[in-house]
Amino acid sequence: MDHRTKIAPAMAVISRDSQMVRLAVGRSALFLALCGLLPAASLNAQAPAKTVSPKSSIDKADATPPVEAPPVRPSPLALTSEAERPWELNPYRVTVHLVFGPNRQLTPAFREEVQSEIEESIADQAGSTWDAILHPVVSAAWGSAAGMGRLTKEQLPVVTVATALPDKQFFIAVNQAGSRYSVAVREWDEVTQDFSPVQSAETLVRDRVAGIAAGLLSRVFRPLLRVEGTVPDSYDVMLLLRAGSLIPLEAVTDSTADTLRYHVRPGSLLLPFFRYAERNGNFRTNQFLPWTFLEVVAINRGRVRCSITTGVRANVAVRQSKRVKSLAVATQPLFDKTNVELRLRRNTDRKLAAHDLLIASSKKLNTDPQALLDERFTDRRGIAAVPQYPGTPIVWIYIKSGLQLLAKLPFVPGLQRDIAIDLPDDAGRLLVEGELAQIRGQLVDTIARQQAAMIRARKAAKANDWTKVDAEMKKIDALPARDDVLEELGKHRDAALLDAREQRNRTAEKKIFELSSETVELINRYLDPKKRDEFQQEIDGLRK
Amino acid sequence: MNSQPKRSQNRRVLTAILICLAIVVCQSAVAQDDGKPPRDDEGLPQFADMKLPTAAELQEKPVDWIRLNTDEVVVSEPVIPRPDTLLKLEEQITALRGKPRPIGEEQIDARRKERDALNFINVVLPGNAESPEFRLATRHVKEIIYHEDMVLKQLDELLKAGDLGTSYQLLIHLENRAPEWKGVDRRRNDIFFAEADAQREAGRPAAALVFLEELHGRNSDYPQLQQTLGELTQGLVDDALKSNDLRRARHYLGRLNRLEGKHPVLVKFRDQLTADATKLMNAAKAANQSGDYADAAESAATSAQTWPITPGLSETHRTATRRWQTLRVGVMRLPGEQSPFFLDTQPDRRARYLTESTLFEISRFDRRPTYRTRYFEQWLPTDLGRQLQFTLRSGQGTWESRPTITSSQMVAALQTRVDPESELYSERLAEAIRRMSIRSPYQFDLELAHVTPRTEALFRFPLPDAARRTDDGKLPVLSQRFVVTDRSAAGVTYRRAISQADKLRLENYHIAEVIEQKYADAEQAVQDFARGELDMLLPLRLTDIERFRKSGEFSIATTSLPVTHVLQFNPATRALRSRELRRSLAYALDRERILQEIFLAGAPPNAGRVVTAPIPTRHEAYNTVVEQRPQDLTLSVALRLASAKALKQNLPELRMVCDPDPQIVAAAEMMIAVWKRVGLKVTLLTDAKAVGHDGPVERDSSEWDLVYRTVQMAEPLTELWPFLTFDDQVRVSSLRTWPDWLRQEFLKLETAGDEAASLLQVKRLHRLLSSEVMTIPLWEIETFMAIRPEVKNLPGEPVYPYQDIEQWTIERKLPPLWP
Repeated sequence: MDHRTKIAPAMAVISRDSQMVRLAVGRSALFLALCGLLPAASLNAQAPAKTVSPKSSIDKADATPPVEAPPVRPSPLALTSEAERPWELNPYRVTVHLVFGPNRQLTPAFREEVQSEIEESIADQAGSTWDAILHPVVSAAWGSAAGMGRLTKEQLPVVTVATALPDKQFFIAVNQAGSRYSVAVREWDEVTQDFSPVQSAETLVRDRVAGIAAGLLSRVFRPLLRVEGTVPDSYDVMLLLRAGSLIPLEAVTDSTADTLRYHVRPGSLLLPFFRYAERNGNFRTNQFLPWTFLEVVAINRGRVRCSITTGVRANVAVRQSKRVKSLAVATQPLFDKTNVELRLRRNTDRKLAAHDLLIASSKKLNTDPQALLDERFTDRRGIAAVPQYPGTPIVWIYIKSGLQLLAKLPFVPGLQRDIAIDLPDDAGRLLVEGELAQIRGQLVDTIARQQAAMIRARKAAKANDWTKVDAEMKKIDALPARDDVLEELGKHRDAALLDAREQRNRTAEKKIFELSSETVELINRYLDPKKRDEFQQEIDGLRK
Repeated sequence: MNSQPKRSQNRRVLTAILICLAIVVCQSAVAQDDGKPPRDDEGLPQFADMKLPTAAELQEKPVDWIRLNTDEVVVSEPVIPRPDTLLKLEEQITALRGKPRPIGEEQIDARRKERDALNFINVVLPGNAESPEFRLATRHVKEIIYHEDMVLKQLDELLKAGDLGTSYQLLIHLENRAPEWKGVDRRRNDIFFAEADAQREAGRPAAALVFLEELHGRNSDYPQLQQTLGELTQGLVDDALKSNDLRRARHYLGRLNRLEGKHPVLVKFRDQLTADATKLMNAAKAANQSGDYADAAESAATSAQTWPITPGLSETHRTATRRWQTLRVGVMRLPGEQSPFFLDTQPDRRARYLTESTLFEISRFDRRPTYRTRYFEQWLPTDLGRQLQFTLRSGQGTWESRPTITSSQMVAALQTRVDPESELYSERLAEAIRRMSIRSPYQFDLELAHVTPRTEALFRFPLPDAARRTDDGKLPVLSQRFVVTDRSAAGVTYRRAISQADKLRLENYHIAEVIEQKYADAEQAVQDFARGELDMLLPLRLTDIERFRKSGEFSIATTSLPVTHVLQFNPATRALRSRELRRSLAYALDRERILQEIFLAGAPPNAGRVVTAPIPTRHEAYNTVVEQRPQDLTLSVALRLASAKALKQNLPELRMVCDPDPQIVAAAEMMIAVWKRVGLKVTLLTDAKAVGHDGPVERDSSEWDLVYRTVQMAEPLTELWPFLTFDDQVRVSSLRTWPDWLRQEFLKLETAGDEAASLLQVKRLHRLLSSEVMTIPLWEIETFMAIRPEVKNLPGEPVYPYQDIEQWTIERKLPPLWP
């Protein structure tokens, strides 16, 4: 079935659960529903939609277009318009779903006013970069911030605009509790196939609701870019911003410019990904590059130059073909902090508590100690909260276990609420480190005792007090010998090495070996039997 | 025939010459004894000129005065026989005359010599005269003034002058010399009476009474004794009554009763006190009926103290004191006393047990703790221990002093402990509890994130009242046992959080009130305890244990959980992160010596021992393989130098805070002295002046470097971490300053799935901590307490001093009439 069947001239909303077509019946339906004259089931149906094109395209009179219901959701690979218009001139097809809570104080007049203001805001701010349609919805499961957070891809309303699915769907929920108005907004991107985080805000002022909603829209909006290639003689990457040519050049660096139109600016962060298609051109999957971020350096009429920061060896400009597209999505930290969870790679149920996280502004912390921004520590759940650092959107996380560096990754705090990092098992090495610490402690004691006894024996020998000399020599003989200490060390080292080999953890194996070698060297140096023999000879010489 | 009279005449002349010579010699001797050069022209002193020797002279060398018919005096060493020398000689002569006539020349001569001898007194001149001895014919002697009589005369003079001290000396001198001398008893009584009078005048009537009692024992008819006794007792009893010390009043009346059972003063007071006691008894009855049991018990107790044999008092006293039982405890320190020490002291722990009951509490400790709970009817682990179904007790015993708690209260309380924003947040519990759900008012379920080897230990905390806040914004305790109702510098009063119901049988009532009374003098506390003014001594001094055991009158209890003394380091002190420095501090100490000298002097055997961990040595998790660290000053110095080298700086002066217990302070001072010997400077912060501000030092500050604290660790599986990190919330972040490998060892203990693994891990940690010197464990000391026999229902081997106090009873008896 051709999912791109034209459902002209307008739109339909389909519940994926019931596969039932729910017709939009326009304002009259809403009115009747509110008056209780329509069956309750009708309340699930949507209110009439409006096409929000740049200002002039808003036509309130034409608010009840005919609706046709497709039987199933069309393919998300609805980028057909690319063929029709160049990427940089192709505006986003946007659907905005707006729902109000059941509170009686959210009167129809208020709803209409808010809807109208949002429409105007979108038209003002997005300009020609969006082809937006606003959908008032009578009620929805996602009609609150919490409900919106639970929204899944499967629960998305199927909406087509003209011939294809919209590139972006925005969900706006307005509620009232007491004297407070709350607004929640979330974005669905058809290309990245994921949701933005829910953004919400509250106000006590009724007139600010629409403004807040428009502001939240710009926070969750994530523009798309296409990778064009690398910049010669540089690691930088060139990308093309969708509808970028529709943005006036002079406004790019203007922070007061319309937020929806001028979302991507120098300093903006992009997440690169590869979009894979089937042979028939249908969407197969997206693959985001892990621990890789692009930072906008310059922008000129939709052409964006980015520097790349990556913790893996990845080239975002390769692998371009008909079935593989290299894209990027602009993003921004929406959370105050990100909870970083450390897990064991071979058993992700096991969390790594009590690990140090060093947060640095560069990847060369060893040579530049000034780069250290913060130190964090994982709790019992293996989680450490990493806050945003003003002026440093991309930071480097150094994850350490003792003196051992387990991982070093770039990271944007606040981009996600939670993130998990899987790490190799370091338990064996730690065990050996602990045992070696004990052995070193004993070694220090032994050396100190030996030296003290030698000094006393020498002094006694010079004073011809041979009884005391013999007593001190006995003390020296009673101290642990080198072979005893080496045997003790070997016992712990061998067991740990065996474990590491069984786990095929070569890093741990190498580290265990290094650690124990250092201690063996110390033992050989300070508990050298030759030194003891030499001292014995010295004493014997004095005795003669 | 003519020759015989001539011969006898010649003999008389010769005798006269001899006597004259003897007198001359005697005079010269006396002159010499006076220290004056004898002069031929000086005769013997006249009696009128003789002065009574002083007390000092009398005590030096006794002399008698032989007064001659000429009124001259021969000063002689004590003559024999004495007293009544002349009379005795005369009697002997008379007796000789009565004997049968001697036969034969020899016998006649002997009889004559014997008779002649009785006509003379043997005189020994004092001093170093050339011929000090001679005989003096009795017919020339008018009288002999004996040394003893002179002493008595001097005593009289001294008593008149009020010189009791010298009088005592003379009396003792006389008693040693001639206890049977006529007049000694009288003088002794005079002295006692005078002494009593003097003591009374000096404002010491009790001491005066002692003399009068002694005097009464010697001569009950001594003039004015009865009257003085009465006046003295009257004053003493009045004073005691004024200061409300009824026991003392009865004590003095009892003493008077023993002397004079029908003395008017005694009769007067008996009537007065009986009347007072009756009034109080009636007040007690009225208070009891109106439900004011504390007042009733107090009135009854006062009534019993006033006059225990008041008719009808026995029953009233029993009823009132059983209904409202007050435990009086003598303590040396009160909880919450201000000092720079920032951790819990023994009194704090004692008070916490008294005021807070935990969900699960330790009922017994024998190698490991045994738990019980007052709050749960049952708790059932399911899903291999991951689910716990709790059923709360809907009722409670008549003796209990806790609120009935519902599931919603319980879950709300648990939520405060898993809420990171709460001051009671426990990271351990928050991590362990995955979900809580209420099934019914008395049933709730917990889903745990992982299986814990000892679930009871995880829930060993008091329940907060999530619905309320105290004035200072804190969460109050819901699971209270007793509450503080009065507090002063002299003591603290606690009462049951929830009083026992009315109309129970008397034997079902238990302790309602605990009064901790502070003593500055331990000996005074012991005396008050022995007198019955205290029911319990807590703790009992180790030096008193044997004394109490020997008396057999009181029971001595030992807590099964000893108090362990430990030195700990501030994690923020950079220098102390050096293992070498910590080892240097440890190796410098002779712990055995400090323990014996400061804590165990006079203690029974096994009252204390040095340890290698803050875990009780009798705990199964105590690793006996870990060796004691002996004192090694050379090694200590070497390690100090090594640490200074590693730190690349001179070692800083360390500041130490310690538990304000006087013995602990003394031990800390001993340690500081030893550390000084090895070159480690440590200062003890004992007061606000040293710290620079009032109150304790901040735990998370750099105001201190070392802390000497005590601990009673029953469950190292859960207590070791918070103890070592000073973090009650058991946060992983508290391990941050520790080496990584050690952090993981503690995390391993937290996640151990079974008890055997946990124990092994604790033993391993014991070894590692000892080797790393993360603390310096010092010694553990048993806690003893003395309890009077009236206090009953105590547990056999209590873990804590006030264990199960809600079930204790006190069977108060009427005090003896005459204490």
